[in-house]
Amino acid sequence: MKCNDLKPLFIDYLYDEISDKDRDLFLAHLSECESCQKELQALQQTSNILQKWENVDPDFNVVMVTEKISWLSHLKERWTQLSPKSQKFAYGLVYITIGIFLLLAIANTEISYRQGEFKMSMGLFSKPSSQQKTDELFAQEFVERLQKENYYLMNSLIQQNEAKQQKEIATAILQLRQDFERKRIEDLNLVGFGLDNIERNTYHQLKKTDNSLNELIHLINAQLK
Amino acid sequence: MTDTQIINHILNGDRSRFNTLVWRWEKPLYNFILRYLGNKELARDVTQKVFIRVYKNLNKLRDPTKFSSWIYQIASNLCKDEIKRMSHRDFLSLDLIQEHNENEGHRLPEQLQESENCLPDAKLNQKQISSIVQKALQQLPEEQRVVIIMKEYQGLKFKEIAEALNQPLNTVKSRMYYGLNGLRKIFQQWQVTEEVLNYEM
Repeated sequence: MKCNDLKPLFIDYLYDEISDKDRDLFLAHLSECESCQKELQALQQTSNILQKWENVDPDFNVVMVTEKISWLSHLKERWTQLSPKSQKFAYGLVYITIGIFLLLAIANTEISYRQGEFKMSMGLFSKPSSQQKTDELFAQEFVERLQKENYYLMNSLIQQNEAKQQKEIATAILQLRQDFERKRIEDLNLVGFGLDNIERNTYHQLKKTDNSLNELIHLINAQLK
Repeated sequence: MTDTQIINHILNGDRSRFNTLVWRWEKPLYNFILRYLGNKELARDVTQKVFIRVYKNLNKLRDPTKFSSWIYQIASNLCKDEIKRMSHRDFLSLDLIQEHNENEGHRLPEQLQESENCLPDAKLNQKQISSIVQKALQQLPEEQRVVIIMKEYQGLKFKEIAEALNQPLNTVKSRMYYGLNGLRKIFQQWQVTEEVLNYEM
């Protein structure tokens, strides 16, 4: 075996990564070849010199502060961890779901012409028509009931209002009547009082006249005598 | 708890466990990058960048058992980027550095020359040794240097190095072989031997 063929084994042997078979070959050659012995020794020495350079402690400390990750980025991270096969599967599932929704939406599209205008509606699920009818009936009943309720409410309000007004008018009339009565009594009293005065005055004046007539008669009688 | 177990915990949502990974890997990574780039400040920045990239891309790691190859792959890529970036930014100054290195290539580093001139019992301290080895490593082509650092200092298997560098196993081994031989010649030139270092130590 030539020295050059063994060159690759120098490194394997030096760092103890040689197979048992190669080791035997290598050692066999080495025992016969002085130049290879020298080279191995020189390489070993070089390696030993390198080992004199010791490790140093870093004059700093790396500390990683854990970031708060949002659920979205967490999801993204999980997504990247998925195998390509399951990613494809997930994509397929999403596409199929979207497709079904689109199909349903197109299948249930309704275009109608009502009261002078076109109306278009799209829905995922069609509405049964019987349901629609009962809905309309229900709405009608509801409106009627509402109207009735309103009517009763208005009526009762009006009645209440009228009763209240009548009551107010009655009390006002009563009060007026009482006032009028009181004033009439006052007036009658005053009239009575006035009449009494007139009576008394007339009586005095009549008496005076009577007296003066009596005196006159006396005078006349006296003169006649 | 193994790295794989920690990674599984992190991937299941317990992100605070990432610091355990950081504590484990901080020193080896920093030393790897420091030996690769040869600059403390740069090594610190790149170490941090590596952890940030690991944190962001951990969910892309398909096989957590290959974490060590993966993290060294990230680190060596970032180091490569850094060297490229430096060469773009400091175009002139890098040329000067290269010229400077070429002149120095045939000479012993100053530290060793000084110590040789000193008394026999003068000791080479760790700083001087690291400076010599670092300068020797910088003489090597980048692709050989990274293999040697990964093997000698990070203790990776050749298979792991091949994964980290995305190179065939035989390419990695031959780079290791040529790199070691290159270093042997450089040390010979500088008359640096194991005995000298041991004696001086």
